[in-house]
Amino acid sequence: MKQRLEKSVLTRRALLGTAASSLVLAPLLPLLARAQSASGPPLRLVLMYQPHGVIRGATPYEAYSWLPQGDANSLTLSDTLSPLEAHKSRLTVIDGLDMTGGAYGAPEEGPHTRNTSHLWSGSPLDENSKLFSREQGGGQRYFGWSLGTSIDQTIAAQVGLTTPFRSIEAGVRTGSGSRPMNRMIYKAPGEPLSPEDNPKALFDRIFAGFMPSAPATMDKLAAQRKSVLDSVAKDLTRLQGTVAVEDRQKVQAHLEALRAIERRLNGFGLSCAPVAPPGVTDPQANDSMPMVTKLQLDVLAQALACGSTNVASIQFDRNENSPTRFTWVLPGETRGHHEISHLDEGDGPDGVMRLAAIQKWYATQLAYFLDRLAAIPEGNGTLLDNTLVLWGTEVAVGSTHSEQGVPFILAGATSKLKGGRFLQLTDNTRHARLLVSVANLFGLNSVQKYGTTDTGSGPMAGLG
Amino acid sequence: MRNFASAPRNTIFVLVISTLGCSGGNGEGATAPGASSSVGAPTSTMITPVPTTPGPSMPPPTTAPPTVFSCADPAAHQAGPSPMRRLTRLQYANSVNDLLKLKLDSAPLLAEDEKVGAFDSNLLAPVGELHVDRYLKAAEAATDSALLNVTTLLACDPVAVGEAACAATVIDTLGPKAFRRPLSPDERTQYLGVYTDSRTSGGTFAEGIEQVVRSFLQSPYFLYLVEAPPAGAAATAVSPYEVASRLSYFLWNSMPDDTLFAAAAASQLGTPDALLAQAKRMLESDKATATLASFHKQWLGIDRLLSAGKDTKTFPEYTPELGQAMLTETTGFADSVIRKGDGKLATLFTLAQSPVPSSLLSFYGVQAPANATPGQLIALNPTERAGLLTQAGVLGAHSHFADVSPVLTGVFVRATIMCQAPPPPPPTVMTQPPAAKPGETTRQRFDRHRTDPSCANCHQLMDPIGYGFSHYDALGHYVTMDAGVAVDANGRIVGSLDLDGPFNGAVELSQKLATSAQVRECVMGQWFLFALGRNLDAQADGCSVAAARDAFAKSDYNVQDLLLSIIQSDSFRLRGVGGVQ
Repeated sequence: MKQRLEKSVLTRRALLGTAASSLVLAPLLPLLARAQSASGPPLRLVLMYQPHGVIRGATPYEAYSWLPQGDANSLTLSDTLSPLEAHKSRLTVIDGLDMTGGAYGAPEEGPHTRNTSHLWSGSPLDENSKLFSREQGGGQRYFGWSLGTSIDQTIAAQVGLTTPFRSIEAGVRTGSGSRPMNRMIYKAPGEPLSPEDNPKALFDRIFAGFMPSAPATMDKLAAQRKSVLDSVAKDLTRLQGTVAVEDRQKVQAHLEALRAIERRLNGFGLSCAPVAPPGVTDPQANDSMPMVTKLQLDVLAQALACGSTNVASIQFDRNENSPTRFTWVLPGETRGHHEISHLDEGDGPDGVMRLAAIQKWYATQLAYFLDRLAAIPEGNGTLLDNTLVLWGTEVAVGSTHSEQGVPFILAGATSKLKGGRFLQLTDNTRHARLLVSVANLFGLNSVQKYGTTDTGSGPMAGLG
Repeated sequence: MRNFASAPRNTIFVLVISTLGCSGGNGEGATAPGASSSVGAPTSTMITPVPTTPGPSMPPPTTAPPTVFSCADPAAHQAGPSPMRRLTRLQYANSVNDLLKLKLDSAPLLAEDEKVGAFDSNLLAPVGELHVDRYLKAAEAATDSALLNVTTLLACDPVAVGEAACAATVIDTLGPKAFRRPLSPDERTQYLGVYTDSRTSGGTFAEGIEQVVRSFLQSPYFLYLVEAPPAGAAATAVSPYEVASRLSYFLWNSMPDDTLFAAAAASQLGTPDALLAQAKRMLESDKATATLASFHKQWLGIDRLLSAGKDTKTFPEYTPELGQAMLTETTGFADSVIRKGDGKLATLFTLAQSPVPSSLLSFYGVQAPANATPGQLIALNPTERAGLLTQAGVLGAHSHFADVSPVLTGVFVRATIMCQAPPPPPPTVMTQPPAAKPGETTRQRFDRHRTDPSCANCHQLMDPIGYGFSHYDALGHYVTMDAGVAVDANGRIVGSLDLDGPFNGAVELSQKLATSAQVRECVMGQWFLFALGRNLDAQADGCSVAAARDAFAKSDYNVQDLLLSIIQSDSFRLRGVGGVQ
């Protein structure tokens, strides 16, 4: 009953959708072809998160600064960002957004905890909940899950119904338990979505249902799954009528998730031939990180190209103090990213150099992803032209935990966004304004305020 | 006003992992008046100088303000809010194996668990598509397993009685086990429908049964510990089936066995005595061994050793297998003491024996006796080793990748054993220990934590405890020299309830911890968290905690007796009202 996936080559011809090489679910079940809007391929969103901020390069460490130079019309990349040179004309780098206010603790305490979700939701953690706790200066701090919804999910709610997956959450080494400091995507307040850290499992989840090496087998499997899920849905519906008030959200969410999976069983046509990644023995192992990163980015690129989803995210590492030893750029390194991020510039060049190497590696991964998207022709251009990649981090600077002056990168979406520029904001614009702008970019024009820590409203000025 | 009857004067009420108010962050909400606490951003000018001797300036830890009520009052029979829990990965895996008579490891197939304190517990966050997809795949993996023999699940012969009748019998036998309660007639019809759907679509008898099993394994009645809401405004006793599940998932991390299920069916679990009898039986079973192991691994945080690893340049002997052996030693030790030994908390901290795996014998410098059985306790050098805190796995988990840290080790003891976590360092502080200069001992390397007033207030809570572990390197070897100088393992505890004072070495520290009221309270609280899978409510669970505290003391701090008190308590037998806390 286990289906075998045939490896096939992701060729340009296959992607152009010639009948011979496109794969379609056998016609026993009705198909829902991916909706093609009259104005061309849909706009996609990918959120990309990197832990622990950037180096701002105060004297004498200018060479290690992450920050580029430029203005509304020009962009000169720093050495750290130089891996992105080929994509410069498609990049908007932003500096100076204000991300304070994620609640709980003084500004310098706990941003890893609260900003994991505040980053993309503009809302704080639930301070009325005592589920989780963290020792803080002066007392024990209690908190629950975030009270917000992440921007990708807000957009997915609008554009996610025409694709097999409303959204796809990928991770690299995020595994340290399901806790607020480790979950950045929220389908709704109090409903975190867990990332999939295993590339092969991610691929199988996205594509296995649509890769019939034996169509009859697939149909039987789909029919069996439908029958079982139907029964489970009946149980959930019955349970909903009997649970305590405080448990209803759990049952409701379970039912919705089940319906989403059922929907996929009804069949979606795909127009590509995805390539399965190799298995990784231990995706959580420290030294697996470069390989897992590459494979996850490959899977996401394919998912977007194949129309599996229009909304995705990738979370790197675990946010509550990354223990990752970046031995592949810092041979023999025994200290984790978090520890290195706290090497103050006052402690000499060695720490700064090491931190810069880590940040440059991350820039290289972003560049790799943009390369992958740019290599896939689509419409009159490439997949990258139709994808907004939004890169962010949870603090401005790791060594101070500052949340004012946080940087972002927007890449791609060339028909919607100007590139080749560096927007340096100096007026404490709230980061939620950027989230409003992103929502508007996806046609959610009625969204003028995002989350609750920003008391103002409106899109970010100058983004255009 | 009601009085807290029979509360000892210095009660640390409930497990509130209290924090000492040492400066190092903002001062809002500081719980320790008199301790130096700063308001606003910490700067060295705002920090009170360190007292040279510990004393009244470091008051004993406080907890939530004591609520005043009488536990003799019937209205005091309460339990804290008890949201519906979803099985943890381990519980799911065990349940699948018990239901289907398999030996699979399904846990890695599932999404990660939430935590309550140190312990896996899926209490609050709803599932998402990833979870549901994983449950689907795991159910298929279980039924596709080459080991699954549908025949072994059948209590009937399909040829003799007819396939449809046999399918009905399977549903009647497996269904109640899967859902841990009888099926309703509607449910029975529903599952029969799953079977007949499969047959109608051309499936075989075996496939039909597999479909039914997959439906069970993905049902919310399998995946969640479903309990009826309390009837009114007060906490109510859960049903016999519900308390049976609470009991089995606590002591066995799995579903009730036939005996426990039969007792529930006969409504024989309504009293604390009835639960006591079952719990004693269940603790004697080997299934309890794995649960004790799970508790100690999570409580002591020793999985960190495997996930972080050790630097093989510094420790060429380290392999993941060696690390696993270290974990096995610690969990085996806990079982040896609690289930097979005198069961005492003190013994966990002081026993100079351990079930040393063969790969660790030379590590500890001991030999197994000639006729040693696996898991047999082997004597260790009592000047070097005593109980949990000097075991390699514990020491290694709370050191750095390549290096010792009195801070890490001190924080571990403070937070995990004393339930008194210090705050994290301010962000602007460089937390990387300075590189060891030639001839510099560990104590000298970290001395700035003592001499710099902006560090000392907090670090006096941790480093002097960690210095007591100076005889152990980052892998847990016993050493006598540090940078060419004889190890100085003098340590000190300040700011505790009953542990203040000097000590020399981890063995002596362990002996102090073994008889400390603070440690007893901490351990009791940890077991409550683990048993209930939820946080304690200071008010609603207060009497249960008080009763367990008394019983623990009367048993001379026997851990098995503590577990038995917990399961007899109101907190365990009742479901509280109200939202998630």
